[in-house]
Amino acid sequence: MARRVGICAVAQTTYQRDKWHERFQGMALEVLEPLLAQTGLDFSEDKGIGMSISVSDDIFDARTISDNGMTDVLGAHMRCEEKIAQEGIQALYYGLAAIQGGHVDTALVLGHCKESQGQSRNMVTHMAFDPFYTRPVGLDFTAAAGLQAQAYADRSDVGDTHLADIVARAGRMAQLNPATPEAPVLTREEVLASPMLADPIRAHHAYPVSDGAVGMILAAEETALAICDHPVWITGVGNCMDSFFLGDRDLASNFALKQAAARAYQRAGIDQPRDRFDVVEVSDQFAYQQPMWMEGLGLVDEGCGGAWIAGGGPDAMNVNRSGGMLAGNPLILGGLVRAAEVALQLMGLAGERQVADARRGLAHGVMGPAGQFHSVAILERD
Amino acid sequence: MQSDFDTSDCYTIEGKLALPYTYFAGRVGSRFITTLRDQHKIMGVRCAACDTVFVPPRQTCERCLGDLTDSWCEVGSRGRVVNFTVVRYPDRHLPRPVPFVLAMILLEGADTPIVHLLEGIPPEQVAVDMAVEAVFAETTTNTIRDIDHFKPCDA
Amino acid sequence: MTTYFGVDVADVIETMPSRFRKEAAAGIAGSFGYDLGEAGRWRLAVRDGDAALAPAEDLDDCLAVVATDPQTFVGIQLGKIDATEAMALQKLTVAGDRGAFGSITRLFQKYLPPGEEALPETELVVLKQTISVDQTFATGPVMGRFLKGLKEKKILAMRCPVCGRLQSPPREICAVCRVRNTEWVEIGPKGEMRMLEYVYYASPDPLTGETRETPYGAIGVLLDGCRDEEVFWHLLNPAQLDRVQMGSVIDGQVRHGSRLRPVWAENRTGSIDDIQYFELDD
Repeated sequence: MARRVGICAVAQTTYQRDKWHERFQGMALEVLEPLLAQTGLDFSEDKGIGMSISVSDDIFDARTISDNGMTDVLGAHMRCEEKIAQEGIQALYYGLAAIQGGHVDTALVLGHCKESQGQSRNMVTHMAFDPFYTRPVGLDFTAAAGLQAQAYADRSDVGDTHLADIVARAGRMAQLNPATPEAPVLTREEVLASPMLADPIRAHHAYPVSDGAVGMILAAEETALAICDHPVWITGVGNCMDSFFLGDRDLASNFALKQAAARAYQRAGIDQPRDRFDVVEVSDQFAYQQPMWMEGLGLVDEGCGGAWIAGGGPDAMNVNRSGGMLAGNPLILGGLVRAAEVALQLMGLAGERQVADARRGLAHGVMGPAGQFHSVAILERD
Repeated sequence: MQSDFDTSDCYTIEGKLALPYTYFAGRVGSRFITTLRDQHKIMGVRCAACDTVFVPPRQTCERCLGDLTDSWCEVGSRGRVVNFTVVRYPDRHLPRPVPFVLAMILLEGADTPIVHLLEGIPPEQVAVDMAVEAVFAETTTNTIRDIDHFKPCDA
Repeated sequence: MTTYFGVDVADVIETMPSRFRKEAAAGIAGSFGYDLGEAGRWRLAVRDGDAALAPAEDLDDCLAVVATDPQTFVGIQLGKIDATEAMALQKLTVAGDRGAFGSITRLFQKYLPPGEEALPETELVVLKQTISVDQTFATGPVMGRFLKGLKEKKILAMRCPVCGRLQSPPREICAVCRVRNTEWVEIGPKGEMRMLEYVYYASPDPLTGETRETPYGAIGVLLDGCRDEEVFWHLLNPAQLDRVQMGSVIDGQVRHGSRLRPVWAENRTGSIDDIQYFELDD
C-alpha cells in the first residue's frame, strides 16, 4: 500500500471584493509565512520543503506563465516548482501523487487569484470557450450555469425559495468564518427579490467576486507526524472531465461528478457514502449547485435536493460550514479552499464554526462551464 | 489573516491584457463554416460507431475516438429549443444588449444541440420544445454567427 | 499489379508524365529514380520542360533516388500518409540531392484515381482577433514605494538583511536568502551599461496589444551604488543604439561600459515609464 500523505498546515488570506493594496506576491507571502511557522519547515536543499506547487491562472493574472513572477514568494527560487492551471484542488492531487510516488517527502501548495483585477470575471471565463462556435454567441461561465440551472430546475424539486434559503444560510455560516469578512448576509426575501442574472439564476445566487490566497503543507506520513500534532490524511481523490460542448452533455445528469466521486470513494474504501462524512464542503459557485452537487456525490437522493434543503439537510450534514463559495472565493481556488476548510475542521482548528469531533470529510472542486470538470477529495484524521 | 499593514504607498495602475490571436478553424471547421456561409447549409458529422450526429462537427469522436473527417451529413436549419436562459447582465463580450435569450437548439437530424441566440420573441414567452429556424447573417464573420440568430417558426 | 487504398501502383506511376506541369519545369534537367521495391523501379528524365518515364534497373546516374514500399508511395500520393512522418519512420528515404528531389516533386499535379474528379480546394478559415480585458494592477506596498520614487526622480532598491544584495525594482523578499527585505536604498540614477539586447523582432505588448517599434535596445544598467549582477533593466535611447559599449567582468577583469543617465518624462505618474530611457552621459 502506498504511504499515507497528510495535510500538516493550512493558511489563507481573507477573501475580499478588492484587495487593491496587495499584489499576488503580497497575498502569497501572507500565506507562506504562517505555513512555515506552523511546521518549522524551510526550503533548505537537504531537509526542506521538496517542491512548491502553485495555483494560478494566466488570464486572471493577465500574464502568461503566471507562476514565473511568483517563484521567490513560493520559496521556489532555484528549486522545484510546478503550476496547476486548473481548479486548485488539483494541487492536492498533484502533491499526493508526488509524495506517494516517493518523489518528495514534503510539498507546499499555494494558490492565488485576484478576480478584482480584470474588468469582468465573465470576460475571463468567456475566454474558456472556442472562438468559432461558442464565444461568438457570448457564452461565459455564468450563462452556461444559467443553462444548467434551468436543466436542473426542470428535473428536480429545487425551487426559487430553496435557492434563497441556500444563499441566506451561506451568509449566516460565513459570519463565523474570519476568512470571509465581507460575505453578504441576506434574508430569504432579499434573495427572492434580487434581479435575475441568467434565468433562473438570480444576482444573489452568484458567488461574490473576491481576491485571496490559500495554501497548505503536505507531507509523507513519517514527516507529517513529526511536524504536526494532527495531520489530516488524504485517503481518496478522484476527478472526471466531461465534454467541452454543452450540447454534448446532459447538463442535469451530474455525469462527471458521479464518476469523480465513485473514483474517490473507491480509493478511500467507501462503499456507501451516505452518513460517512462529518463535514462536507462543495464548490457552490451558484446556489443551485449546492443541492445539485450533493445529489451527484450520492449524498442526497437524485431529484430531491429541494426536500433536502427544506428538511434542514445542509445543517444536519454539516455542508459548507465555512459559507462555501457563496461566501466568496476566487473561481480557481474554490476546491482548494474547500479542502482547506475540511482540513481545518478535522484538525479542530475551525474556531467558531468547528463541528464537534469531525473525523472524516469530503471536499469538492469544479471547473469549466456548467460543471465540466469535477474533483472529489476524501480527508480523514486518525 | 487580516492584512492591516501601512497602505500609504499602495495604489493601482490601469492597464490591459491585450493579445492579437490568429485562430485556425481546422479543416473540418473550415468546411463547416464555408458551407454555412456560402450555401446556408448546416453540416454535422456522424460517428458510425456510436451513431451520433455531432453539431458543430469535429474531427474525432471523443467517445469512440474514430476519425470523423469524412463523415459529413447535412442537418436541418430548423429545430427545437431543448433548454434556454435569459442573459441579463451587461458585459463587453456579449453579442447583444441585454436581456437576450441563449437557447440550446436541437437541429433536425442532429443529436447534440448547439447554443445560439433566440430572437423575435419576448424572453418570457420562450418555452422548451418550441420550434425555431435559423436566420442566416447578411455579412459573414466566418463563425457560427453566420447564423445570425434563430427565430420561432411553425412546427 | 497489386492495389493499395484501391489504387493500382502502375496507374500512379504511368500518369506521372501527363501530370507533369511543363510550364513550371523550365531550366530543370536531370534524372530522378523511384525504387518501389517489389513493385519495380523507374527513371524519370526531365529535360527542356518535358518529362519521360521508363522502367529502369540501374538508377546510379540519377540526381536523387527515392526508395519506399508501394503502399507508402500510393498512400502519400492520395494524401492518406504523411510524407514527413514516413521519412521520420524511415519508410521512405531519399538518396542523393534531396533538395532537387523536393523541387521535382512539386512539379506534378495531384494524382486522382480513375473516375474521380478534382475537388475544389478547401478554403481554410482563419480568424484574427485581439482579446482584450482591461485590468487594474495593484502595486502593493513595495512596488508602490519604488514607483512613487520614480515620480520624484529617485531610483530605489531594497537590500537583503542577510546577503546585502540590492534588488531594483525591489521585491518583497530576497529569493536567495528567503527573508523579507527591510532596508530601502537610493541608487543611481547614473550608471554603466553592462548588457544590451538589440531587439529586431518585438512581441506584441500585452498592455496594448500592439507591437513596439524596432530595433530597440533593452539594457541592463549597473547603477551607481550597485555591484555584480545588481543591474537595472530599462530601454536605451534608440538613436544611440550603435554608439554604446557594453561592460563586463570576466575572471575579475573589469571592462567598463558606456556611462548612462536616465531621461525623465515630463509628466511623471509613478510608473516605470517615468524614465523614458537611458542615454549616453557624455
